[in-house]
Amino acid sequence: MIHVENLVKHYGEIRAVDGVSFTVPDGQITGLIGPNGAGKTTTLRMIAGLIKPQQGRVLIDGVDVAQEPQKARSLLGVQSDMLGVYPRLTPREQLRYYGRLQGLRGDMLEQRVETVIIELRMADIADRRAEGFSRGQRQKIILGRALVHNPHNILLDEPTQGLDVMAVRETRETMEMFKAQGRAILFSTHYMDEAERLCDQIVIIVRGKIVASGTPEALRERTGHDNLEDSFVALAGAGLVRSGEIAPETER
Amino acid sequence: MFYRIRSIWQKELLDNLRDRRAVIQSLLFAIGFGIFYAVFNPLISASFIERAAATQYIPTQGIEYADPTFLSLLEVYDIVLEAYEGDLTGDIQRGVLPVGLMIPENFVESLADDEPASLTLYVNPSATGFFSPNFSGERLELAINEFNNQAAARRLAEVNLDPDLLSPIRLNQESLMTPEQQAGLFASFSLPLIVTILIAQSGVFIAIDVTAGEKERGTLEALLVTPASDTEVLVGKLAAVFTFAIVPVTLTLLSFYFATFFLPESVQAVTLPFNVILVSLLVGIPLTLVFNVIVLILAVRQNTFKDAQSAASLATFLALFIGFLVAFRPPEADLAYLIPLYGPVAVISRTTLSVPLPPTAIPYAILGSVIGVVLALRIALRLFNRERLLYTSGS
Repeated sequence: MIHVENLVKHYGEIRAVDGVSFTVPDGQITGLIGPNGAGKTTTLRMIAGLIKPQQGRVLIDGVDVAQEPQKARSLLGVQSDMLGVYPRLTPREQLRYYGRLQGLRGDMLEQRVETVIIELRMADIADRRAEGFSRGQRQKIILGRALVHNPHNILLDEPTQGLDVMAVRETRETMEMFKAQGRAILFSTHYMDEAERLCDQIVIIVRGKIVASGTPEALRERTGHDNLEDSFVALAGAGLVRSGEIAPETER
Repeated sequence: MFYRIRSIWQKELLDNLRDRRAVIQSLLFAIGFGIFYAVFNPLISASFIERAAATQYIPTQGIEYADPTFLSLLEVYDIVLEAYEGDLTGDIQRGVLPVGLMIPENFVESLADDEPASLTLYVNPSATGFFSPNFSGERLELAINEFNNQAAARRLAEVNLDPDLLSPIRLNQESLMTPEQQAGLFASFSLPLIVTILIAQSGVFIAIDVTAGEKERGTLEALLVTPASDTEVLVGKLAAVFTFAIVPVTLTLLSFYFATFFLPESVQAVTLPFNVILVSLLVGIPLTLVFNVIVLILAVRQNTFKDAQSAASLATFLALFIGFLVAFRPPEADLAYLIPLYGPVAVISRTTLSVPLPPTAIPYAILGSVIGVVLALRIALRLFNRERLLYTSGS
């Protein structure tokens, strides 16, 4: 379980994240959605311990990220929005490397690498150097290295962005598999249909503040729209009005 | 901790060994500098040997006015004056000739009248370059001194004066330096410079790859979300850079020693004593580590490979600066060998020159490098800050 409590991060005058709190329960998929520049990536990076918040705290399975960053990171699997892989290494070598950094060794390491290769359906590419891999193939490596240590909590930053239909479907199936395995999954996305289809809970963030959260059904009911996209536009628009970003009539 | 450092080290080695550019760059250094030394060493030696042994021909105008005794004496010194018909000063100025002598019409008369007879020697060393067989003014000067002594003695004898009366002190200077040693003198200046630049450059490619390259590829964030601490990541990467760097440094230094072995016997070349190579390795290896950390510092905050390459070129300038500083300002106090970068380069320079080193010089130079590594590593760790490294964008 991931527990985020009153996170604040500002850069000079800009409050990138402003008092964000939510919980990502085990066995559920929580979607973090918001317009560009809303603070999604900053929030995910604070949860991953890459950025120190000025206020607030993050607990990963009860471990405070600020107090015990290394332990907290070992409980997390993080897939960033950067699709970088090592082109001269094979996926298997890359998984092995990240497994070692997570402290795995010997048979346990090899076993986990093999499991991830099977789970992510990457056996056909596992022993080829990653140079020239497609976006979807790289995405599998990135997801694989986030999972190699079998973390209970998973952060995914826009995991389906730029992928083709088949790769998007595979990624979504993988997320559902994680959920079935009882993991806590937090992911950010721009795709409302994806959020609506996958998420048990949605957190809408605008200008660094949470403007709404709840199940997709609850958000639809609250705004009176029959789809999440319209609900999001209404809720995000209201958030922008409150933050002074747009004038009230624009919201209407 | 060591498991993670070792894992990062192994990964970086494997990754970079598969990078043709990194491997070629490393090997090129060793092979390139070896060939450079093998080719230029005999050329430089030959230049000094030829200069010392060859007859000196001096294009001369007014040769018909020269005193025959003077010409005979020049021949003893293996100097031959050759009549020159063209524009002597103009040709020297334009670099057509490196040297020329002008004998005035009244040369013989002046000598006969016991007046100073003047000769004008025009020189332009740029005409042949520094290392080409060139004119040695020293030999002509010796010949003229000898002629002066003989003439003065003759004149004093004519007035019944002992010539020794006018020379309370006579300095007999005789250079015992062999041409090979002369070439070694050049090596003492050039070798430390080459070695320092080599050390500064070795590992640059991999240092950039493991820092800015990681960022450019988009793999840095994934690495930083692992439980590996900043120190583990940095030390692991530094270990890989160092491993990659010492191979060309060692091979190159050894190639300086072995290069001359492969030359034909007819070719004269200066073989560096093996102790020079050993001392260079002894102080050069810790020095390599200092430069590796400096390059990491320069590259760690850069976003792209190209930016990092530009930043890392500062290390080469630093090496050049230190090399020249040592050449012109060698250490005067033993403690100066403790100064990171300066101390080890000074040891290499002094050893090449066969100048006895203070017994503390080598330990101090190594200790200075260790201190340098610790200090530089602290700076690198400050710069290797997760948040600052990553926060180039965020939504």
